[in-house]
Amino acid sequence: MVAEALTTKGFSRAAVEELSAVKAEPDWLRAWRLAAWEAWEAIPMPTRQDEDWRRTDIRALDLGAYAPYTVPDGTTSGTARDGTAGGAGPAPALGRLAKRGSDLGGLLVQQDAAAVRRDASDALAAQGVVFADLDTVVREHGDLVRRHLGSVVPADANKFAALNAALWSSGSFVYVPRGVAVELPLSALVWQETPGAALFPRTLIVVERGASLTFIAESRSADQDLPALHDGVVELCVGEGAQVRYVGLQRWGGHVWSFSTERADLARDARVQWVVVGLGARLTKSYVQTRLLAPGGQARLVGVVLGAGKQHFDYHTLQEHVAPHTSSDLLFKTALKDQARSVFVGLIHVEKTAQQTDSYLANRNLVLSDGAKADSIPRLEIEANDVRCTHGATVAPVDPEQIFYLETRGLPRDDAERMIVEGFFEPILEEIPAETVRERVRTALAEKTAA
Amino acid sequence: MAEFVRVAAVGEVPPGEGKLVRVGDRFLALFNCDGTYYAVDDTCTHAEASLSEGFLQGCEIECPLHGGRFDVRTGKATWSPAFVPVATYAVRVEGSDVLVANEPNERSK
Repeated sequence: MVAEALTTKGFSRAAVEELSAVKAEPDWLRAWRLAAWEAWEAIPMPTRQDEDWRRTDIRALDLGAYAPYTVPDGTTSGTARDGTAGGAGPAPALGRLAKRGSDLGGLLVQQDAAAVRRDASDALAAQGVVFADLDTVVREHGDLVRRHLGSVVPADANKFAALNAALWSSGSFVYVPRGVAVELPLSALVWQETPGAALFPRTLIVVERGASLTFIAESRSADQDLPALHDGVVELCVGEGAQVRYVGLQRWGGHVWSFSTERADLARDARVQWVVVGLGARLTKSYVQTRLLAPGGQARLVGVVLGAGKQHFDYHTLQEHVAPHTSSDLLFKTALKDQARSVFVGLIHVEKTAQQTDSYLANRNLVLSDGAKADSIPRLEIEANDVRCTHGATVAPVDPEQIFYLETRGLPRDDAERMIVEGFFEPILEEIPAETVRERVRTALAEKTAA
Repeated sequence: MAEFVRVAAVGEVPPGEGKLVRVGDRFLALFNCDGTYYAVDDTCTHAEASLSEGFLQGCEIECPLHGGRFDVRTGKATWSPAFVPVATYAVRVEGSDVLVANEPNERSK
């Protein structure tokens, strides 16, 4: 079922070299990957003695069980095929998901390690927008990639970021030139199909001064039972006065280990709005970070996580204020049933130079069963003395009075609970652009709550 | 139906000692209380410490991090800050092998 894989087994320096050779990469990129491999070897594997990993146990993760470069059968590796061109494209199993909805300006589809489809409106090229999988852009606009790759998330940011830097494949690249407003959202779908595959998508988005972009990243698995490893990195470079809306929909199958490091750097007067949706995977360890590096920057992060079974979600968010007169705002909501577990660690870090910071962080947790557990740790590290920083967290079961009220209106208990969970998430869902995407998320949440 | 997995040799864990063992994706703590073996989830229900690194006194294991205690025979929390019982697993000795069930015992209410 696998069309292509590396001859070198497992994760090793030799695998990195072979991967770079298979992709016929320029020397600078090969060297960049190897430096990242060295960082991977130098950083010790995290244990529960590390503060960031105190509540997330990855001892059961066996890295040897995953293949770093897997191109599934029925697809072609390398450049994503344009929707209009012929040739093998995405597997039929993807079906409807591989079609660009009318409310999207572009769609990239990746299956395991291979970029398989690119469907974009002509308007993008006319505007000078570059939108393609990262491998293709390395070939066609190498300088652009070289300038920005690793500028937001360097290889040594953390252990798993280093592994992604060494072994990344496909992923997406978007470049929006100065002043260009990309009207319709662009989207990328990463589809995991082969059991035992390790996916390392890397997303690099550069939005120049005064430009704007909405980007929707979605991850799915062909089957709920396929074991796989995901280790992704997302870098957003938001230029002066530019605006980016980034939506991440994590919907991996239940046997996927998912790690990600996602970071946005904001220039002067830049605005970022980030929506995180976490639904899948057996274990999710995700860093979602924003850095306000110049005055006037504004960041808004909202998140929705619904856990069931024995899922484990661990989100570490960061609102880093480096320059004066910036603001940030974060609202993360999780609902957990069965024996699911969530860990939320939100840090607002205000440096000495960041006077007049206005920052807010709230984490709300709804615990729907006795076996579920939510850990909420909002943190403030404030080094300036003229700021406003607020943080709050709640962990609570569903209010029994609310259930009673709905029952008196004729709703069975299960329906009442489902309505309350829907109401809990709805304000955040409204921040997802693109109606088709929003509806998909609503449906997925409703199905999971009812299950 | 739980299956039994070999985790240690008889004599590997002396009386009064504990050992971290792995059964599938679970990490368990195997204890020897005066010659009888008991197994519980390795992770303390209070705050993520490893019970196999704790102090076994009779049939009570004390968590090394904050001093909470559990009765390893029943999983019941016997001293704060432990309150939530820890899951227990059936143990069998066959010849020179110590076997542990791969699924926890039903918690008695």
